[in-house]
Amino acid sequence: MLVIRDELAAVAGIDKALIFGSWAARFLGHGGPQPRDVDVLVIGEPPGRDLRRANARMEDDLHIPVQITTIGAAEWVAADSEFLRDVQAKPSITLDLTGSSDRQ
Amino acid sequence: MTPARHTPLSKLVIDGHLELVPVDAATCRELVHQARNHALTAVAGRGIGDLEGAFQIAYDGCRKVCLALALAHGVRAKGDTGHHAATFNAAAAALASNLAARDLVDDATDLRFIRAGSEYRAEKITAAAVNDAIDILNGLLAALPPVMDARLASSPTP
Repeated sequence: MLVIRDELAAVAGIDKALIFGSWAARFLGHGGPQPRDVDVLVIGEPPGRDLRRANARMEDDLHIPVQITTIGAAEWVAADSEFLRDVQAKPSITLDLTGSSDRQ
Repeated sequence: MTPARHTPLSKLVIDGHLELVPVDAATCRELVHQARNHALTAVAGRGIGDLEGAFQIAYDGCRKVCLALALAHGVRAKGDTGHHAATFNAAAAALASNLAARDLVDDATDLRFIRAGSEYRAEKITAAAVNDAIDILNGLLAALPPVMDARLASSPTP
């Protein structure tokens, strides 16, 4: 998680980032199978190449696929898709890009 | 840790990611020709709003120009999986002393994240992603063919 947080903290234009899905659920103590990847939601407008390069470094370091989905701030607030409603309803870990992380 | 894409060509061969093949200049140049056509097709696709199609053809153009450079060095991807990654890694390795060009190959390699999002998670391709893919392809088409031609000129002819 620190690798992901540190990589995203170095990318401009990110308002908020959180880990969701099975990795977040296991980390927060919810039972289930071993996660095969890490799902990350990035909210903001980061430069695409910078974010993809950070994504590649995360996978090099973690040896697990890191699936990043990027959305705009307004889209996150509106939450008018099943995907976003699901992310907001289920366990997630908000990454504090200035230092620590908050569990939800 | 050294990323796989910055591994020397010789090690990629020894590790089984690449195999040695005879150098065929005509094949290399045909791939570059196809990649140039793909750049034009991507622009046309973008013009009619087919962002998914434009991105895919731009990505494929990136892959082909990198494959052309790899083949000019007498290597190609080996095995049943990871062909694209191995092809980009080969091109990056062939450009070890040309950092600007290698950076472009890295940018092309990273387009896999957009491709995976579109193909496996049904994520929409944005106009910004298409513009970026076309820019990367045009950059590769400017930077790699001269390197490829120099390599072909120095290769022994059969």
